[in-house]
Amino acid sequence: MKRAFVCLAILISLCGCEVTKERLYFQGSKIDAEHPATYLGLPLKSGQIALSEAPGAYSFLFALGLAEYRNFTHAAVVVLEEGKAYIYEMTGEYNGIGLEESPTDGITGYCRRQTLEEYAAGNLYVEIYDPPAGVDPDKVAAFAKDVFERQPEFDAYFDYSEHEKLFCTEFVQQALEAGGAPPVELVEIRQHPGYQRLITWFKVENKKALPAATFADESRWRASLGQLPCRTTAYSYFAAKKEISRRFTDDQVLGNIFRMEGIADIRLRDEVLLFLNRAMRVFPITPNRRFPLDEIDARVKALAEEMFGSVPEQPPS
Amino acid sequence: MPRSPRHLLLAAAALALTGCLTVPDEIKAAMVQPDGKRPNNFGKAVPADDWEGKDDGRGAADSGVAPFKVVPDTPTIARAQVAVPSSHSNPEGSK
Repeated sequence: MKRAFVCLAILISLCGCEVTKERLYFQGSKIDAEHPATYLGLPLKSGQIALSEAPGAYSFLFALGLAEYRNFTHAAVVVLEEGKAYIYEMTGEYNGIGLEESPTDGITGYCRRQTLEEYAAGNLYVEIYDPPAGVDPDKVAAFAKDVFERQPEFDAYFDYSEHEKLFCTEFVQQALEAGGAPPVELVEIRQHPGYQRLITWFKVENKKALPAATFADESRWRASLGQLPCRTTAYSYFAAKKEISRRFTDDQVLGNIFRMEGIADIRLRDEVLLFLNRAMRVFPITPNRRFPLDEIDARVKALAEEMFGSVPEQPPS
Repeated sequence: MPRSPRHLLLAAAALALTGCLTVPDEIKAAMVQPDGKRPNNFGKAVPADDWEGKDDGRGAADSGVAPFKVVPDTPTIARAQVAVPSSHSNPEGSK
């Protein structure tokens, strides 16, 4: 019975609610004449996009849901107000009474506004990106503030076919479109049999998703901050998640990656946690720079082969 | 966030223990731990007692878990499929 409660935890994590408070590192920024430091030494502007990675085991479960792995678990909008940076986001939480047909039925949410520091402290890693060229950042920010005023329902079923209710990345995409961005193309959800059973129970009917990494573009990167010491460490962590996702082939069960903790929580299995910890140490700490991504991926994959054995490349299910 | 996820989970757990929350058996089955027989691409721990070597980066001091190393476990089906021809056939032909 204990194992059952993990599903509630999963849903809560999908809504970006898992929060811990750790030290905060400023891991680098890209400042130039057009993008001067405006807040805490960072080149922040209204209308930028904040992408974040939640701490804990649940973010790994989230990553397993995509046919092709993507970094980050959450997205939000930056708005500068009276010289201070705020983050606007759609977020949900479980408020049910345990009688629901699906845990998703018990999730409610809202548009939250908090300072950048509060937001970053609750996440493992955050990156700030400029909006795409041609997008009016003031209109993006205005949309976010309008949603905060209107407070539409949170979409716990991640249904992108309607925009009355919003989930986190849907909120960001709608904000960008308000600023002039074109519609976005959704990506395929993984057809893994175990994962399909899970999302069927969660009543998530869409076969496509809008991952947070949709908004990531290195040419528009402006700043990184969070609990990890540098960008190389952060991308080593992402490479480990990517490798775990690749290894979650159709013959694998969730219990190969996760284990129960207490009566209502999940953790990574010790084997997977050790791999993750070692992956984040395959490179030295490199302030304000990042090792090449292909080199990071190669070293982390080699570590996985050493610890877990070789698994051949397969097309995503 | 008005209430912590842990608080809500515990509240849900209490209800579930009274039989209110029905979770499909197949979901429970998805969390079964590796047994060395089913395919597992994520290795298995070998206790330090059975392993001659230094701490593999994880010790009791930071985790509460005794030092261990990780070794490969049962391969995936795909890997087994790859392995079968090489172990049961002679690609260079019989002499």
